[in-house]
Amino acid sequence: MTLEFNNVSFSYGAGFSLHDLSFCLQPGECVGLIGPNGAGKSTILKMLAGIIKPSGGDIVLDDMKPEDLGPRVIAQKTAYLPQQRRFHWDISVRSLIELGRLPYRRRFGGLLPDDHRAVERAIELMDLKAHANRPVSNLSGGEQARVHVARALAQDAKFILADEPTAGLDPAHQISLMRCFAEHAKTGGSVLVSLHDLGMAARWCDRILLLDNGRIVMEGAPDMVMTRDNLARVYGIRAHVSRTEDGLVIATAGLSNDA
Amino acid sequence: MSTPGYPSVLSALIILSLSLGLLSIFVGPAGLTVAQVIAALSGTSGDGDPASIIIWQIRMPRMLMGALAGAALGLSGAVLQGYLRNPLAEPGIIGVTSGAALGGVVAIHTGLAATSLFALPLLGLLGSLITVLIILGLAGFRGSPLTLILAGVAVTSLASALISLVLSLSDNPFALTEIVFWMLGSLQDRSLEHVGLAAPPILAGLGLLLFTSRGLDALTLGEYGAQNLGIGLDRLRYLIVAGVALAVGSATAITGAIGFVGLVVPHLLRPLVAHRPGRLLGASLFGGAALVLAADIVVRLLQPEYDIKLGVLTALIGAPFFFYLVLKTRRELIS
Repeated sequence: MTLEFNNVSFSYGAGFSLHDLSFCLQPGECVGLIGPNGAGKSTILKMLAGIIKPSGGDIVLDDMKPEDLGPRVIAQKTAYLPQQRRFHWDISVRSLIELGRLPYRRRFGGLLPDDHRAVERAIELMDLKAHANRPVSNLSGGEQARVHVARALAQDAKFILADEPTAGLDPAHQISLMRCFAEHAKTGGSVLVSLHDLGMAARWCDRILLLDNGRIVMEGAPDMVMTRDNLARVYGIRAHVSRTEDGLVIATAGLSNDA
Repeated sequence: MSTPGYPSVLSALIILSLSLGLLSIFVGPAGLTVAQVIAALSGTSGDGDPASIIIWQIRMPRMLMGALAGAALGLSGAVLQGYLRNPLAEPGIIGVTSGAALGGVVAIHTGLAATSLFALPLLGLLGSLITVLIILGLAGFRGSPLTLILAGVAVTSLASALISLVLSLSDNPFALTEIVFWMLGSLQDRSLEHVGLAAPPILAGLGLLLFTSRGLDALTLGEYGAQNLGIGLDRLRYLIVAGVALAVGSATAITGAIGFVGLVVPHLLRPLVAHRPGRLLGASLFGGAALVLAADIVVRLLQPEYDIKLGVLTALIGAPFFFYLVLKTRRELIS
């Protein structure tokens, strides 16, 4: 019941590459993927979601190679939230969330009771009840972001792979989204989420992968990885890191070469 | 904002196209009475009866061909708009129509069209087949919607250049007139043999295209989103190119280019199916058939005083609609 990366590498023309990455996503954990722009966060998520193929190494999903599972089974096991969040047609919020059930549906078949349950649950979790029957263009950007998350939740996948899902959300909805991911992990699922909000990552992730230039430079509990020195080295920022009763609190103060 | 349910929209369109099909059997410049038509349809009039000949040899093939061509254009338009996620896409965009037109033009120019009833449609089909092979070669492997559009533009310009070349080489004024009229698109003088030739590939193409509904629904979330829902985009693209080529290529080979149907029909129907790309397919299939049948009925009502070609009529209706679309898009961009 794991999603593994074994010595995976990837190159993207001449400029960008990922080198020899290995890690394993265990059931019950919410893992934060952090690192500067261009560190390789989105590429890792895309490879895990099966959108792009690694140029070396293997991905192992529940002890199987993705090629042997087939796209439909992969879709039932992994829900991916791309960074680019756009709806191309102005369909209703509910119909959009129902798309998450496509991997379970028979061709030309309708929604079954299980499908309806999953859709209603996702609507509930993302606080979209009031909007369910509205066309999606009527919603604000943050509300649309929640529709995307709800679609992924409706997919009922064990592994959730989310690329900066909190971008554009107000603080309350950021927290309820991260709480929802933590809840998913607590009930035996796994979440890999890339975040730019270091405070969110520290507060809600069980484990942090710190990426720089296509390598995992550090991996471990948030308080181990997200230290003043590490953040200064990788991001070039000056940050205040303090332990409070709510866990680790990180505030950015400036660039490290300001001082 | 209550919209009618999908089953009622679809049944209404089916009933509409069936009634227009029936109506088109009763309409024509021959001025047959209702009783004559019914007698001919039920077979109670004699074999040599002129009414019977008009119904079975002229109006019936014309109605069937119109319904098939309209269905092919409507469905292909809906599929391409869904795949390219662009409301301005139409079947001609992947070059199949101009390929078929080039084949037809060559058939007329070389005089082959005069030697056999099947020469023109077969060369038309060949033309669209060659176009498809070129398109797949350019955009088939690891292609994206954008490469498909670019390949379509390239092939279309080549085909139009070749058509112009044939036209300028043609020293026979009759062939020239025939080419021009053929390219305008018409259902006139099509026989049951024509229908028999075109129906199997058109129906096969329609069948293939109906299988794209899941993929098109999923593409509402973009390509990554669709892939994550288990949609194979390469397979989807092959299905679409093959389906459009079979359906629209074969229809164009018989009728010539009937413009704007593939653009307008999905647009008109999209609000009725709550903008869902998968549901738009069935609706556009019947909507396309209904629109072409209706346009051809108008063409026949105007005859014999005005001999307006079907393709001209659809363009005359379609172009103002296009203006409206441009204005609407402009408004949406501003707001």
